[in-house]
This record gives sequence, structure tokens and C-alpha cells, in this order.
Amino acid sequence: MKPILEVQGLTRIHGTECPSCLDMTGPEHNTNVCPACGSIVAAANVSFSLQPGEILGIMGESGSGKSTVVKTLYFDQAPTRGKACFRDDTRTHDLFELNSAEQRWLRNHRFGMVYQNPNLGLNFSISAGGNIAERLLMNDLNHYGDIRRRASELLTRTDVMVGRMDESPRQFSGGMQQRVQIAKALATRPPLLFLDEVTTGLDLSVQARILDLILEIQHELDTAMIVVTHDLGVIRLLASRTLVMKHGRVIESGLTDQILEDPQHAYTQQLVASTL
Amino acid sequence: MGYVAIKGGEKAIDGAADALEALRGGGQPSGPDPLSLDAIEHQLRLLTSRIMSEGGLYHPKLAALAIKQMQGDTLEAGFALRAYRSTRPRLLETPPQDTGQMRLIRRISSAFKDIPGGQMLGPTHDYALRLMRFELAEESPEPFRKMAAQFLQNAPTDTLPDSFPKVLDALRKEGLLPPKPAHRNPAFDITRDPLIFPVSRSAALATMARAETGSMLAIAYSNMRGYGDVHPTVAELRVGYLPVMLPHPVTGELTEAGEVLMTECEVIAMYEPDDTDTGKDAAPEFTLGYGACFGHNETKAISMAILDRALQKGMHDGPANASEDPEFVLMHIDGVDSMGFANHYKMPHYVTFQSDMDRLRATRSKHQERGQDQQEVSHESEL
Amino acid sequence: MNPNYKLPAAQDSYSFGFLDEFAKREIRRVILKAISIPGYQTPYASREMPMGRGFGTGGLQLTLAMIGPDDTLKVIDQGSDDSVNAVNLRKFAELTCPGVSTTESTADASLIQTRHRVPETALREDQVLNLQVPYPDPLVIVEPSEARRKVMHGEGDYARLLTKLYEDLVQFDEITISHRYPTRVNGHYVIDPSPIPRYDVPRLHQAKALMLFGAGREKKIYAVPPYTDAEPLVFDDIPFRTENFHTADGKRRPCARCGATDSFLDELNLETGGKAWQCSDTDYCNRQLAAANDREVTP
Repeated sequence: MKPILEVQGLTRIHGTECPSCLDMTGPEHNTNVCPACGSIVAAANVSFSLQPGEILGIMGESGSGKSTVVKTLYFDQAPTRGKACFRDDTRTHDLFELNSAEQRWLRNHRFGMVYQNPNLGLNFSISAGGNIAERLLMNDLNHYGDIRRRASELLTRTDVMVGRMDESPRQFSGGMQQRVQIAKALATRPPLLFLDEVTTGLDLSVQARILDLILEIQHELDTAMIVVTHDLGVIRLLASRTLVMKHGRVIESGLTDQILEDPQHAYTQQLVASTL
Repeated sequence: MGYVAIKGGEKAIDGAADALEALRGGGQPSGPDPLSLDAIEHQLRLLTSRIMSEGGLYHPKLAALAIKQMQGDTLEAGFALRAYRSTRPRLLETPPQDTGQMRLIRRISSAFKDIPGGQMLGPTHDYALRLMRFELAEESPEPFRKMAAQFLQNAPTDTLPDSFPKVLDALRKEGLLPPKPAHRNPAFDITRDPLIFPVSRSAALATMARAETGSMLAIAYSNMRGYGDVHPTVAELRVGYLPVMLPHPVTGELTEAGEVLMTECEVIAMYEPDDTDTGKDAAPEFTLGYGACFGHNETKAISMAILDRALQKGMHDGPANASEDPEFVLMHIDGVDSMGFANHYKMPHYVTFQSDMDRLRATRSKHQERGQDQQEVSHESEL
Repeated sequence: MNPNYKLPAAQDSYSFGFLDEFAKREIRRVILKAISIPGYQTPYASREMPMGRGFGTGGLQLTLAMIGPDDTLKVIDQGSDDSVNAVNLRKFAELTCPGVSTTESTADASLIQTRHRVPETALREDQVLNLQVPYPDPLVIVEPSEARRKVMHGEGDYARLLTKLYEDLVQFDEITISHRYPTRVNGHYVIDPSPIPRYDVPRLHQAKALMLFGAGREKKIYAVPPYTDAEPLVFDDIPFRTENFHTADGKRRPCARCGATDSFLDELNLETGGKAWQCSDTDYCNRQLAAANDREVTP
């Protein structure tokens, strides 16, 4: 099977880059700030591939560059360099070569994103159903009755009470807001979903139910996902393969079980040990 | 009685014009003489200045006429001048003018105690006590007319040079300010080209130069108070007569065609730490804000200079508040646009209001159908 | 200023149509562009006119840029030729366009400038309708930044506008937009058709006359060219509804003056305390009345 997403050499540097940026940052220098020019190397030479229906985990602490990777792939930020190819049925899109209209089209039609902060993913000035409707309307579904039906199906699927679909998500609990975000992201049945720290800050029982939901969805819809988290538990439960990042670099990658059982890099060993 | 008269608009307009004119006459047969344009231009010189700058036309006589005709309404007077301007073709493009050549009546710097050429306080209200001068209520014409002559008689004549160097040039020499750009883009003409955002700094400056003083002051003040973070120092504020150099119609050589009274203000703000454009090689520099307008109007020039600095920041980093947002600032400071639209709400809106009532009735009846409201009873009676 | 300078004594030196010829030429070029890209809000350097922004300066600039001595001009406001603003604009055109004739008859006009209405009488191919526009952009209710709206228009991205309609239906069971109803032109750009009632929106669709929209304050010109689709933005299963002039028992109210049952009606509060309904289009009302009188005289 051909991968749905192939990323090569993805690099994102904030500031004026200098020739020393890549040589003088990274885990071995214990920093992502270039001592020569002060630029921040948020991510450097990140490469990986993702199979259809697969869940890939990206793990690291804050500042490791894990969120930068999904933000560039979802076009929230532009990379400094690198290449990413998204294979959609028969067509292959060279993501960073597309113009901004084409990027917005992919974002609205073929990708889904669930942010840690529901404020970024939801419009609180309209109803929960309206949030889903907006995404359906972007996809040219123009029948009010069908939109209502589809929105209530999605909310039912993500365990949001349909009776509350006409309320603003502002009034919802944090866990429920994440469920609405997931329903919204799934509205277009995207083949690729990005999840950025979606359970961070939620109660443990709420976390568990959301993680279950994500797994069920992956089984039902065969959605490929990239899950970004600092939480080893989330990785253990969801991801079949994992990248570990530190100071903008991938320091270890492979099957999740292998990484957890037999971590190679000292940093990963420390992470795994700390949660045992 | 099914018919309601809707005729009469023409008569009403004529009547309104007559009433307005009657009030302009003061309403009394033994009232004062009509204002002379000369009196307005000179005795209300700051008002004339304001009208010329907001009207976007340097013409003291026409500005005075507009003030007289509009009975002192600054927005209407600026507007009349602008409308007149619409009828005039543009005959040529003015090349950039050198304000270093201004014949100054006032120049100050709050950045330096000593500036090349010296500070010159000139005519200003700044340190005048705002006490009512009751003696002006009954002024006799003889001493009034002699005031200017006496002032000039006593003034030293030989100490003033024709022009003064700019304060900023000294700072540039020290390298504290970025050098003037070698290449100058052609100026944006807001009277010929529409503003399409994002706009150039030139377009922003041109829009502000003819903006309504109060509107611009309000937005600049929001920045000064904390909805923004420009902490300006007035490097130089100068008021004076700028020689206008135009290409000679035959030789093409720049020739002085006349002079215009201008106010110019340059503010310096602290440099912005910048993580994108300046590498470690670029030394920190001050940043600049520029304001200039026709006539003597210091409030406007200072407000403009602060907003110019704020807008440059907004254009560069994205606006963090209203005064840094080019669209917010430039679309809301034009007196002609804003006062016209505020006043248009007085016009009939029968049709749209009919349409509003239709929607309200429809949604209320739906509301009733839902059984959520039992009190809704229509009292409509029909003839 | 030269101390010997004297202002001219009389109102002279205004050119035909008030605006200078360069300005008129620019506006005509912008009109051609607007016609070429139906529904696209073409920016232009709107001039200050001697009446207030919001009083029809955009429509007036269209009229003055196009008008010639052979034209016959009709000016209406709220459907009426004699409301104060219509009179004012017509008088201005008469003053600055010597030789142009004016009319109150829709059928006799070659150029019609209007605020808030499209005439009841169907327009012909040889007529042009200039609508005065206060807010040119239908997206302004969902996006305040013009720069971002421009991108949305370019990509035909109207999902947020449709979401507003969805939210209306959820909350009120009805779309609450009363006038300025968003209308899709030629399958792409959605326009604000100016504050005409919903009743008039279907008249833009496949019209025989050229419809031009001028927003003076916001400095935009756009067009619905003749024989072009103009469809109100709705859902497939929710019909577009125009203003309802039916009584509680479902009868169409007639105009109290001429008896017409096919026109947009103004609701009048009578001094006696009751209400009456009457044509908003005075020319149409007069015509219907004259036709009815003719029928009575010659049975």
C-alpha cells in the first residue's frame, strides 16, 4: 500500500537563518535557539510517512517541535523548507507547492484538525450544529434538512447530546467541546486527521472516553491520524508507530511497542522510566 | 381615506433652503454685517487651516467661503471644498517637495535642548493661559488693525535664516535612524486610485493628510493611552511656508510656483526588537512616524505621525490593536465619508423598514406556532 | 496666496455632469470591468459629490459618468419620484447636465437611478438601472476585514454566510435577512443587491436591462449584466420568501389607491388609527389608476 502522507526534511526556523543554525542546535547542544543568530529552530529535517488508516504518534515535551510539524502540514504555518506529499485517491498533492487557495481547499475538504484549545477549532458565537454545518457547507452540501441530519448523526457518534446541538459550545464542558471539535473535523469524512494534545487538561475519565472514541473512529472510517502529545499513555493507547522529538529533531522513531519496551535514546529512556 | 399624499418633496427642499439662509442672515434687520472672507481667512486662520487640510485643497479664499456658507460647520465646509475639488482635472503630478526649504514661523524639538538653528516657539497657544480675555468682547478697530504692524516693527529682522536644517538629518548622520531609502516609489494618489488593502505607506499617509482632525486624534489617543505602544518623542514639529516646486511647462525645470502653509511633525519611537528582519548584524535603530498637513494644525500633524508609526508596526507584525490596523484607521478617519453616512440615516427607509416588519412578523408567528409565547396578539386593524 | 486674487463671481466652469472628464472616463472604464466580471466589486476612486455620502453619491457617479444630452433620466427613492432625496438628485442632474430631459415615467426613461427599489414596470434592453448602494459587501456580516473578504469572494467561499442562514433557521425557523438579501450572480460572486426588498430580488435574474450598483462611500462598482443569473442565496429545501402582503385569511392585499395586487406595498398608519396599504412605486400606481379610470370612462 502507498503511504497517504510522505514528509521529507521538514524544517521550520523562526528568525533570520544563519549557516550555523542547524549545526549548533538540537538535543546534543541541548537547545533549539541558535547561539550565532538567535533564530529558533522549531523543527529540523523531520521525515516520516503515514499509511492510510494508520495512527502515528509524535511525542515530546513543549518546545520539541511536535506541534510545529502538524501546524505546517495543516497550513497554519509555512515551513522554511521541506516537502510533503499527500496522496488522495489517485492524485498526489505536493503540499508546500500549492497556492494558498489550493491549500485552503485541502484543509476544508480533505483534512481535519482537533486543537488542544477548542477556541481555535470552534466558533463560539454560533451553535454546535452550526459549527458542523459550516464545514458541510464548505463541501457544497446545500440541503438544510440533510445538514441537520448529518450534524446530529455526527454529534450522536461523538456522544454529544443531540438535544444540545443548537446551543453555543461556549456553554459546554471541556470534554464535550473536544467532542464537538472531533465531530466537526470528521464532518467531511477526511482521510487525514491531525490531533494536537486533544486530551491535555481534561479529567482522566473524560480523557479515556475521548481516546476510545478516537480509536473507534479509526476502526470505522479507516482515518489516518497524526497524534501529537506529551503523554506517553496516549501514545501507548493510540499510536502504532511513534516519533520522539526533542529540540526540533526526531531522536527516535519506530513501532510504539518497541520504543516503549526498548528505548534507544537516553532521553526516551528517561521519559519511559519516569512514567513506569 | 385610503390615500396618503406623497407629493411635496420639491417644495419642502426649497423651504428648507430658505430657512437655512434666513438663519445665516442672523434673523434681525439690524444685525451685524455679513462676514468678509478676508476676516474669516485671517481672524479664523486655524479654522481655515483645518478646512483646507480636511478638504484636500489649498485655497484659503475658497475655504473661507465654505466656512461662511456652511455657517461654521467644519465637516460641511471641508466637504464642500472636496466636492469642488471633484470638478477640477489634475493637470500635473507634483514631485516630492523638500520641507527643509520651509520658511518657518515655528519649530520645536522635544528630543533635544539644542538643535541646529535653534528652537523657535512662534505663534502657539501651548503656554497661553486659557483665561477668558473679556476685553476682546468689545474690541475697537483701530488698535486691532495696528497689532500686526507693531509686532513686525519690533521683531528682529536679520537674525532669522531663510530655512532651518531638519533635526532628523542630524540623527541620521549619527546612524541612529535608518538612512533615507535610495529608491522612492511614486506617490499613491488617493484622489485617482482606490484604496485596496493591503495599502502602501504612501497611500496611508495621503489618506491621513486629509483626514478629519478629531477622528484621527481619537484613534491616535487610543494608542497613546495604552491600546498600542508607540511611545513617541517629537523630534521636530515645524510650521511654515513651503515653496511649491513644479516643473516649468516649457523647460521642465523645477520652478517655484508659490508657497503653502504647512505643519509637519516627525516623531521618533523606540526601536522594535525584531526577530524576523534584523539579524545580529543590524544595530538597533530608532523608528520614525511622519505627519504633515496643509495649514497650521499641530494636533492633526502629531496624531498623524503617531498613527503612521502605529500603522507601520501593524503592517509589519499584524495589528495588535485598532490603531495599528490599516483598514480600521484609514476607513474611519475621513470626515466626508463618516459624517455623510451618519446623516444619511435621516433619509426615508420606508421600504427596508417594511421588509424588517415582514421578517419580524414572520418570525413572531413561527415563535407562536412553537407554542413558546402565548401572549402574542395582533391588534392590527385594517381599513 | 496672491493678495489680488478674487474668487469668480458666478457659478461657472462646472463641466457637463459636474465631474471632470478624466473622472468620468475612469468610472466608465470601471463600469466596463464590472460588467465583464458579473458581481465583482470593482474598486474605484470615488469622488466627493456635493451631497452627503450615503445619499446616493455612488449611484450618482454612475449616472453622471454615463449620461449624455440625449438621455432621459428618472430618479426614484423608495419607489417615489417626489421624495426629498429623489428630487434633490434630479435637480442636481438638471443643473449640471444641460439638455438632458427628466421623467417620472419608468417606460420613458433611458437611465433610472434608484434607491431601495427596482421599478414594478419590467425594464427593457435599452434601459440601465443605477442602484445606490450603502454596503457593497454581503460578507461584512461575517467578516469585518475587507482584505480577508476579498479572498473569500475570489474563492467563492460563502460557507460562513450560509452558516448565518443556517443559524437563523435554527433560531427562528425563518431567515431573518429582510432586505439586502445576498444574491449569487452568474454562479460565482455573491453580491449585496443594495437595500431593495426581497420582493425585488427576482427582478435581477435574467433581466433585460443592465443593472449597475454604485457604492460611493465604500468606493465600489458592480454589475448584474443583462440576461445573467442572479439567485438569492438559499438552501435547496428552504424556499426564498418575499415580503408577505396577505391578510390573516390569506387574501392578497390590494393597493388602497389603485387596486393593484401585484406590487410592493407601503404600510401607512392613518390618522384615524387604522392602516392602509399602497403601492411604493408611485409611477406604477399612477399608471394603474389611469388605466382603471380609462376602463370606467370607456366601458
